[in-house]
Amino acid sequence: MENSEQILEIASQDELNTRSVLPPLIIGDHLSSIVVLQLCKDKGVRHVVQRSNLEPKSETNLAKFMMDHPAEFIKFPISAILGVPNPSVETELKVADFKVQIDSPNSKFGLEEELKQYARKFKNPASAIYDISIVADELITNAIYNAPYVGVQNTTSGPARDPKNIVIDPKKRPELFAGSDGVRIVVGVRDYFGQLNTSNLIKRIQACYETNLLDQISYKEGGAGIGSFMIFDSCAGMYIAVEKGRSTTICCSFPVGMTARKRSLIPKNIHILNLQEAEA
Amino acid sequence: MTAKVECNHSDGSLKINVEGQINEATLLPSLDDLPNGIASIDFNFSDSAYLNSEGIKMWLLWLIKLRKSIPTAKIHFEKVSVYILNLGAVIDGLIPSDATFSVIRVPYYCSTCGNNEMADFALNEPQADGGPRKDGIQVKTCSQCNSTSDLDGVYEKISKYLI
Repeated sequence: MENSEQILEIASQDELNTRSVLPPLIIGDHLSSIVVLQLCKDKGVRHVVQRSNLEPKSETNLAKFMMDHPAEFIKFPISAILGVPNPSVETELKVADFKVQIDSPNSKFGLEEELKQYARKFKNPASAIYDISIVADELITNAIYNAPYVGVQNTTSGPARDPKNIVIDPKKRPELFAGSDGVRIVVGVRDYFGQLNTSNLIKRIQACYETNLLDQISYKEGGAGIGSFMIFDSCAGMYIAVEKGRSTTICCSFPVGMTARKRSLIPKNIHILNLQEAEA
Repeated sequence: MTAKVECNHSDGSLKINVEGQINEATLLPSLDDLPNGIASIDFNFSDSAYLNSEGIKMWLLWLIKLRKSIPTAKIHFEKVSVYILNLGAVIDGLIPSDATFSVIRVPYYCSTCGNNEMADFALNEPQADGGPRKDGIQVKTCSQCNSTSDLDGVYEKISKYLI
């Protein structure tokens, strides 16, 4: 596929209304979170890169890399997101310099503390450490309580959030990892189930933006139903990669050394990748 | 750190201290044996207090039960951080709409040296050091390098509590 068929660069949001079909990558600016999610849900867009987000050139190259080399992205997400040329085992080891396995539900709290210590090395404001911690918490929760239980359609919200009743398969321990280039810090979690339905995820987050958040909270057994919204709302960019039946990787990027107010002005990027097992 | 939530009652007042993260491993105090005659509920959130999604769900259910147990008590927040207020701004009921506040803990960040500090905003009282304000927020000097520190919060989200 030629680049012109893959990419649409727009100067204003109005240009989106003139097209019935959109390519997988949209480059724009000042698109609200709701518009970004709508593009993914209703128009089949897989990548939204905003010029006022962090490192737009690197993000555009990343989108192309994810389209052209999906399996490589899944193997080396931190290298790819941070724009390291030719991502590999070696670059990932070097760049993702925080990496731990999650062996029990209760271990997540200690691991979050370790991640916070890591994030503090980059002179981050306290509010950024808070956001990073919230994102890691919710990503780990999804990996522990949802990934093994939700099925292909993701129609249930997993078992009760009782750490005592959950055992993690030693062969499928989720991983928490992070890396930074000094401008961005990227945090990710990978599970080895690959059951995430990305369409449902986008719908879920969008509903939280479009209605009263209180109405979106589920009081039934299982998750509260707002964790994915908290993840997307807290970060500058979200990277979702599902290798059907094998793994789900979600990463989030944050600017380094930026106060909550400045971060709140950054329009969000999103990248979505679905790889069928046969393509892997 | 999973939250420690403690309830103590004396002289018609119920004091609830929250320290750490309210999450799926948190045991919120039982409300079954509260004495009669509680006129006020005073919350005190430490700087480390916050809630994950499961904690939000548990907290909302617990607050409903608390309200049912003591429907007429006045709710007051002695101390609360902007992180809790930010959540309260998007989730109705997380902070009861009729609650009053004494002190809001606000983070400041010095982009010169990377220092993080928390500052108290005592509401309805002049600020202790009477320093200059910008958009209603007191300008702080970094205690490490004497540069000007920036408010590390979104003013629009907390302004309604500061007025």
